[in-house]
Amino acid sequence: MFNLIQKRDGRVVSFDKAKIADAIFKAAQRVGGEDRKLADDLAAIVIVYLGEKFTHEHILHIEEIQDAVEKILVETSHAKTAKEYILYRDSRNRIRRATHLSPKETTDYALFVRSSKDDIVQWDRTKIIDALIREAEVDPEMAEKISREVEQQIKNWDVQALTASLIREMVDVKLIEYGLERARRVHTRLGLPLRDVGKVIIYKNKENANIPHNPEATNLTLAESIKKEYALLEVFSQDVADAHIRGDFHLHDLGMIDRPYCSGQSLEYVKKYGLDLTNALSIAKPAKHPETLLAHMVKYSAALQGHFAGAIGWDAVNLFFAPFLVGMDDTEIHQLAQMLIFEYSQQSVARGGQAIFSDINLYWEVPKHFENVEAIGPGGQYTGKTYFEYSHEAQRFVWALFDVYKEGDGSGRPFFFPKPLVHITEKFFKTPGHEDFLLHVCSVASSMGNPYFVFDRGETAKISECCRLSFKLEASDIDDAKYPWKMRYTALQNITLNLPRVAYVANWDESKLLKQLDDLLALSVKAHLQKRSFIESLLSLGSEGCLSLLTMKKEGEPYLRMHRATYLIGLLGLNEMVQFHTGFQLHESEEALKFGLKVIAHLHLLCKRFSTEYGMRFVLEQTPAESTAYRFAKLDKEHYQEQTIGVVKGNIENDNIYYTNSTQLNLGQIINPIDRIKKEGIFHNLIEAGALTHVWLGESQPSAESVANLVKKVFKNTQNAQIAFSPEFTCCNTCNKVARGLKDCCPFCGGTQVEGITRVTGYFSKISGWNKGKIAELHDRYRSGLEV
Amino acid sequence: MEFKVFGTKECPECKASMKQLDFYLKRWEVSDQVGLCFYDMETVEGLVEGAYNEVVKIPTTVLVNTVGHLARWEGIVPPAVDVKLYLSDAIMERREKVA
Repeated sequence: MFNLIQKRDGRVVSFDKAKIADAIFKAAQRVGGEDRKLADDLAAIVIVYLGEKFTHEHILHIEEIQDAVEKILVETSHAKTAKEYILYRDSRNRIRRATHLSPKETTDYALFVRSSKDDIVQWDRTKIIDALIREAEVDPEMAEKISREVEQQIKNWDVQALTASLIREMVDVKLIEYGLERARRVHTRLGLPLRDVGKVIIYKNKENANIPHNPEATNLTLAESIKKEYALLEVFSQDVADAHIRGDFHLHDLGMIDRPYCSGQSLEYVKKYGLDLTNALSIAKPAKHPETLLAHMVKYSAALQGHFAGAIGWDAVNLFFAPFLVGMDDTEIHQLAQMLIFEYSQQSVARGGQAIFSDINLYWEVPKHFENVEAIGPGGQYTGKTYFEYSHEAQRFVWALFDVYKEGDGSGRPFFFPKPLVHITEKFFKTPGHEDFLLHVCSVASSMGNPYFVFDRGETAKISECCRLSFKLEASDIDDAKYPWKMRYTALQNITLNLPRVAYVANWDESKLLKQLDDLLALSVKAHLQKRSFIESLLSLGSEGCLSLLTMKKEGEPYLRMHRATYLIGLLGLNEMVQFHTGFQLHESEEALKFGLKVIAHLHLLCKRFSTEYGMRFVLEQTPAESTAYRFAKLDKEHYQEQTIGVVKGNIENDNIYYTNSTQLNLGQIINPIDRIKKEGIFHNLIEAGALTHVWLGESQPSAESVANLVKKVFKNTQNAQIAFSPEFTCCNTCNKVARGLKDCCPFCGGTQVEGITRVTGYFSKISGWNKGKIAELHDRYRSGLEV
Repeated sequence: MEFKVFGTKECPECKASMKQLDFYLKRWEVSDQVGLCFYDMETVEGLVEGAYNEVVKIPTTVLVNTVGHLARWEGIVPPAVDVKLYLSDAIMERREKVA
């Protein structure tokens, strides 16, 4: 066995067999290999060969070892790996030659560098050259020049140890000095300042009220910050990245750049195929029992949460569970409903400690497109009946679900997830029992606030999810309904336009304003194309890629149906845009309202034009804008200070400011709910990917009859797409009781350790996790008891 | 009073609505009292007025006066008998003037 080897710089160091195996494995990996054991075996053969050629006392030279590796790789028929090994060796040699360095030059300098691989290595200037040539494609002469200048700079400082990250920054400064901006961009190191990491670990992240504060959540925040930087440097072009950073628009979920935005799922897929996930340790056959089906659904949701940035919505949940419920008594059905809701509301051990943002679409009637579809029952087998024949079970289950929502959690608090989306359709009003069911749901809406009323008028059918997102079913989707497991939808990305800024820049010139919108939308389309291209590149890696779950194929079709993806154009601050441009807010004049409509109609038609041009679905959406409403307002206050005066909402003195969300009316104005719903609703048909009007209830608890009356009126007399009623609660951390309204102390025990809960944008959350903009909005909200 | 017809240029029912309403107004000699306007739902102007009038299908015809909406026909060409009923005052006024 050999003990020593001599390196190129003349140093004699210990012989390490593992390094030979490492080098072979790295070369193999570069050509798709992944068998580490094989690399170890080949390294052993190399040593045997060397043992035959040299005596064990011989001090091997590195070049002798590399020659031996090449020979063995070729002779053992690993041609691809051999080629890669030879090429890499050659490139390293060329770099060395390019620098004209004698090895001695670099070792003369006694400086140690703390590398990014958790070790301390001796200063080696060629590493700078290597990185500049390999990563940034800088020509060798320039790389040599920069490396010498950086080395000289370090020598001048007379330090003994440095970090690799600092050296990289120094190199980047040189790249800037020499005008090599593109090279600097790709040579950039991503990361966070020490202080910022400390803040993330110590303080709660308030960008998303659905993220708790725990070590898993801080992992999420830190990982997201790196991926966000990566996205802005690598995935998007500079004009797109700059527009985001300036706040012209907002690219949502940059920290999850390697995933689609959110999705609509079909339980039929899980029923038919069981739990057969890529990279899973075990495979489960299709469920035979309702509890097992529920377990599959929840686990599947958790898996999908790791592959989508946002919501996981499930279609017609009560209907698709129905074949499993035959013969169950009321107690059993109630128990299953309870399990479903608790399972989703307590999933805060999943990604980043976040609960799964989950939605369940529910129907009293059997939707027309599922009426004659053959039902899948236990074991993934067809039951021989249609879904219409399971109406009774579906109704019992949906009723039980709302019984559970009404009870609340163990302390009587409202459940945050899963969000129940009740579809109100023409058929709903023709289905026996709908009056009682509506009253039942409305009593939950009034007392706990959970239900969302989704209005599917005429022939419209939708799958709803996220805060308000909807996938409107097209004719081809209705055809797919015969095979409901195919009904899987995704929105690939959401980009929200800063509408008030467009008005500020246009400076009261309408044609300039419309031109600004054209340009901003065109840039948004460009950003969507770039994200699509990135996701497609990940998907193309198939089972080897990070999105392997979304590429798995059943019946020849990948799980993620890219051809059915939508690309969202979010809207924010229409009210403030109109206010600046016309002098009136949306609710203040017909002229203002019509101008608002003109802007949205203009964008709607532009989206249609781009959709035709690119063969993609670009659609408008009301952005949830939990943090964007604050971010845009803050950026505009800084860069368009004069224009924002009297326009931006909230408290400008303490920076608790925000823009009104999407196309909504000023939420602080005293407008009776039905007028607000009607006026906001006139925008909704132009916003195809979903819209919502909030009715802020505050402390009041209207009767179920009043809520039901309002729901019926909204369906019949307005074009509003979706409404939700939001009560407020105070939960006492001392006595665990829940009171109506937001209080400073517990009305039951007087304790001051209380937590406020209400709806932040499209979901319930604890107010302590809200950002400053949302706190200001909460302060301004006009609460109504529906007494008007 | 004014008839607002919401439609598209390619939709035959929309064209028929416009032609028939134009014919009725002329036949009953109330063209100078009752307006008739077509809104193309594939233009910004049409979409704005359509959204404002809560139009969800084409053709939709809305009869308005200075106070608000008087009548609405969705997805159909307004029948002459309905139209005449709503225009009876205007027709009467016209006849009185002529007399």
